[in-house]
Amino acid sequence: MRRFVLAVLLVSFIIAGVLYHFASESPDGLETVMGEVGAEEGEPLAPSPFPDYEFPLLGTALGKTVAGLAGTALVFLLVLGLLRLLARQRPEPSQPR
Amino acid sequence: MHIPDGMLTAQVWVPLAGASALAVGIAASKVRQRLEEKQVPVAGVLGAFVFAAQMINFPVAAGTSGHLVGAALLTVLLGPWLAVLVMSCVLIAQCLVFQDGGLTALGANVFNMAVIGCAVTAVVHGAAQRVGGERRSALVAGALGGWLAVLLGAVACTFELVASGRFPLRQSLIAMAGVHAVIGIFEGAITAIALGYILAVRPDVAPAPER
Repeated sequence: MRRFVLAVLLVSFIIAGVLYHFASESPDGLETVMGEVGAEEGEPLAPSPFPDYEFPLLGTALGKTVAGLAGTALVFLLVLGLLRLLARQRPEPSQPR
Repeated sequence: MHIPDGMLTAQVWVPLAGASALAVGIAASKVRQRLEEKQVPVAGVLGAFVFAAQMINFPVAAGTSGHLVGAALLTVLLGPWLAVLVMSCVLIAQCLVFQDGGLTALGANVFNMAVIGCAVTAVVHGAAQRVGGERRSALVAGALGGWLAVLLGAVACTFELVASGRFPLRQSLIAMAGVHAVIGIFEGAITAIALGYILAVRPDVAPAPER
């Protein structure tokens, strides 16, 4: 299972760090329909270091790769942290005799 | 299909945030009872994979793109409760760190993509398991569940925007359902292919069905 986990992690980093450069820049389904019906998007309520999956500090190309890799690692750690927390709260199963 | 800030009125986003918080809370308590140690790293990498896959927009029609959601993939491989939690982690990271989906719309986005997507896939998966074998049910749940997850999520998103007075019902429902029916075909096909491959190399990834 360790190899499976590492393989999926590697594939995810390649998708987010490399393949992302070839993704379509067109608006998605919701954004297209918002344009068609003239619904304007509001301003984001909070600032972010990685607006729109970019990292403006490093420019477009490198910034996209850094944003993708950082997000992928972040989600991995977020899920691990949450599940560890849930597992710790679980009452110890009673010992079978 | 991530709704940005400033689109939903409070009458719409507050109840949806409550419903999603409730769903995530129930999911957390179910997961706590049944979580197996070996599932933890698998859930982590599948969350990372879904995040990465969601970054890849592919063209679906002139001037319009779509990306995977991933709820069906997670539901088949992790079970619906753990899938809701992982999907929510992805959406929270996207919202807080990448400005993809608004803060006020987070509950709605979790509802549309995590709760609806995982629930509809679990229903399809359960029905398929009553008829066919494990592997075939997983593929059906991936294909049909994936398509329905995208389509129904988009329909829910439309109703939320209509209720907020931002979308005209008829025009936007036809447009949203139309484009997401196409995006959903990609979702279903890619999910089924990914499941076919993963279950061929690691059949023990998926949880044993509840009896």
